[in-house]
Amino acid sequence: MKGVVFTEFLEMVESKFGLETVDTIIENSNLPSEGIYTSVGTYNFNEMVSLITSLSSEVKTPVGDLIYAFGLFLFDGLAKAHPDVIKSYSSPLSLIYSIEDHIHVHVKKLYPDAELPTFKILEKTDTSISMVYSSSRGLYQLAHGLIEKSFEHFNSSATVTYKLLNENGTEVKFDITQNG
Amino acid sequence: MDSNKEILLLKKALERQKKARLQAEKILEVKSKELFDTTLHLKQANNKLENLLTETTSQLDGGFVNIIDPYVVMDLSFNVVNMNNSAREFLGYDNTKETINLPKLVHPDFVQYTIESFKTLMQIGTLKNYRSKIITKDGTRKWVQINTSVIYDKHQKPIGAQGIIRDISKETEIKEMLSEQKRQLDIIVENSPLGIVLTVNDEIIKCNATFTALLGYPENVTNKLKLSDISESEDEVITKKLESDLNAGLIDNYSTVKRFFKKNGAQILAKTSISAVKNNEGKVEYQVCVIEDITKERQAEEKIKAEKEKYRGIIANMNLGMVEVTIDNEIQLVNQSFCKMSGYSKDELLGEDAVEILKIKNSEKIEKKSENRLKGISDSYEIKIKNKKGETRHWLVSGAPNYNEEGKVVGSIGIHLDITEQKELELQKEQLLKELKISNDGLQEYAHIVSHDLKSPLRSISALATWTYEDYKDVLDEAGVQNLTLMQEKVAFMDKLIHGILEYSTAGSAQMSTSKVDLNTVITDIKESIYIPEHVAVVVPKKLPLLNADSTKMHQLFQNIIGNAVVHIEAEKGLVQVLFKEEPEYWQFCIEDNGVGIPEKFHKKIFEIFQSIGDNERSTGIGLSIVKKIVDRYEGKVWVESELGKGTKFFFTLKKDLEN
Repeated sequence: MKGVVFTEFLEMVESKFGLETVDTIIENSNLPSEGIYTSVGTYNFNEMVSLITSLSSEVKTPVGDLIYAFGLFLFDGLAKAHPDVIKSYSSPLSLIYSIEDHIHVHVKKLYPDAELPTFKILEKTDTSISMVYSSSRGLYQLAHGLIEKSFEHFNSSATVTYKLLNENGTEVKFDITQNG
Repeated sequence: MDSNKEILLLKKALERQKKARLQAEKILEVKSKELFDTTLHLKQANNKLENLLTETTSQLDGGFVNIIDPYVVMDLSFNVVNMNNSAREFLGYDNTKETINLPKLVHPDFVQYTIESFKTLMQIGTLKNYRSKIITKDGTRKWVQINTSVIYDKHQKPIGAQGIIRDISKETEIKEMLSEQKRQLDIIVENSPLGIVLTVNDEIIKCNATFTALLGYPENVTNKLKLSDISESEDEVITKKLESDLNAGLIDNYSTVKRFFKKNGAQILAKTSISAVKNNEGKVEYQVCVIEDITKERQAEEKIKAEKEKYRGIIANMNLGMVEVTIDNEIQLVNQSFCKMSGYSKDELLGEDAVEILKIKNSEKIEKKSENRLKGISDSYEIKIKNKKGETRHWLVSGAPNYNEEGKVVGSIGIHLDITEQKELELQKEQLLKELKISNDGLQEYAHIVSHDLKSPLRSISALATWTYEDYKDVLDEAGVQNLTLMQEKVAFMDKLIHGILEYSTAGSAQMSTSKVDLNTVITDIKESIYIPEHVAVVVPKKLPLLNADSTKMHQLFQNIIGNAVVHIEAEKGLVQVLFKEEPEYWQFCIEDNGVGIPEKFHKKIFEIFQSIGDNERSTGIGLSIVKKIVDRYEGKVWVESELGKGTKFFFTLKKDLEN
């Protein structure tokens, strides 16, 4: 998993729960990287699982909610790091619609070894989109958070419902309808 | 949280950040190195590619320059921007020295085609096998074939075109020559009086118009026919053998006579020559059949044969002797009649000299005839020969030259007729004529002498009687005087008679002195010289013609008839008219009187000598026989029409142009 996800995650933990919690979960997770992450590096996904699990037990909050919250946080981090990418879209729906074909293409340019989820568009109108998230990581809540945040970014809101297509959550159908 | 713990946590966090930075730097270093390596690799690859490109380009350039066929690059206006040496040589132009606009080189006949071709080129991007005639700088016309393609820039925009020119003048010439030759060959084949058929395994592939016309099949049908379906050989066995020999390659061709079946069911006989056409491997590929209709020839041949047979029969059986001799008179052929005529057998005659064996008397005549034969002259003549028995025979020969196949005289053919009997008769006749002439001459002389000699005693008697009357008229009684007078009259009659005989004997004489005779004068003379009773008039109502004749004979002719007419008229007013009319070849005269007439039974008899009607002492019976004799001499006719008591018409004709 890309280093940026780890650095942003720890950023979120520090800002929400403080430096002590950051240290605690790093100490508790017994990480091969010893919690040392750089955005340009690549690290084992299990480290992220350990960190989230540690955080969940530390702050007594379910893992799903933490991942969703991380999604919301991650959008801002990414938007700050790559403002040009966001600027090229005029609406959240067009941004979401272009994840696969545009954003992920640019990600691959910078990080050829990145392992990215896929978003298969089932249906699209001017105000809604229906798509299937697919990733071995099963981080659909992260995607959910990112989607919600992208509407917020464009000063808009949407009703996002999702349905797991399997138990592991590696295939999830999202139905997004813009409000207003 | 106390500050110590916070410092500890911050220290730890800072430591992690430092390590993260180091890690990031390390990653970046690695990435940088990778980037550098990649750049280096790319540079090398680029260099390699550039080299490759240059090489290829120069190779292409080299190829372009050294290409054997003329190669040109043109812009979109078809102006030449580059060309190889071959193109310079071929077109005679150089793009570095002058502007060459390719469409301007195209022959006027091909301008339209060229415009369309270039359109196609611009639309499709390539143009293959464009063919036209161009005019090079030195004015030579050349056939070219051009393959072109459009050149595009990197934006796929056309910027020009390139083309390879191939000189196909020779090819085209050969093609044209071949097509011309094919055309000529077709003309020969189509116009041949012989049917020509091309077959493969008996099937007709192609045939000419003569063949289809010969058999009456439409052209499109013959292709579906087999030769064996429409023909059969006269001699199947021999033909089959020849056919298999031909297929086996033992012979190249053979001829046979075949019977062809026409579409309408009729048959024709044809001399058929079959030739094998072999391919490179010596296998029979086609058969060419040349068919000549000999139906007519065959019919003619058979007719000639029949004719020959006919004439052979005629010659063998005819009653005329036939002989065929060479120029040297050697006997080649004789018929039965000739053997019979000559008395020799065929074997005795053949090979002998005709002149010698027949002992021809006038052999020099034969030599002359032989000369005539060489000149191709036919004629007929008589010869005198001796037959086997030694008897002299006369033959009439009709000779004609005998020609060989080349038309050269090789001898003569003679037809002989034995005319010995006729000849003997002729000789007899000639003898008789000769004797007759002598006796005739003698007779005439005799008549002349007799009449002449008789006249002088008559004159003496007449004189004596006159004297007696003069001296004794006083002494004599009445009866004595009357007797003396009667005596005088009889002597006068006798004189007349002798005169008549004399005239008659000269009337038929051959000599005639022909001159222009005016019959009007003749009639006037007659009227003056004969006794015409007073109550009779002789008139000529229409002026008589001028004749070419003997004047004395004309005088005798008219005098005898007129003289007869005037004395036999008892009518109160006697009238004798001299009439005539002209026919194409004859003059016809008529002397008409109103006299006593002549009974019909005498109409013929009166022209015979010494025949007179009644006892009229004035007629001697000689006059009309003289008339007959003269008219005969002029190849005319004389006849009489008469009615008793009413009159007589004497008609006679005279030929206008007497030959002698």
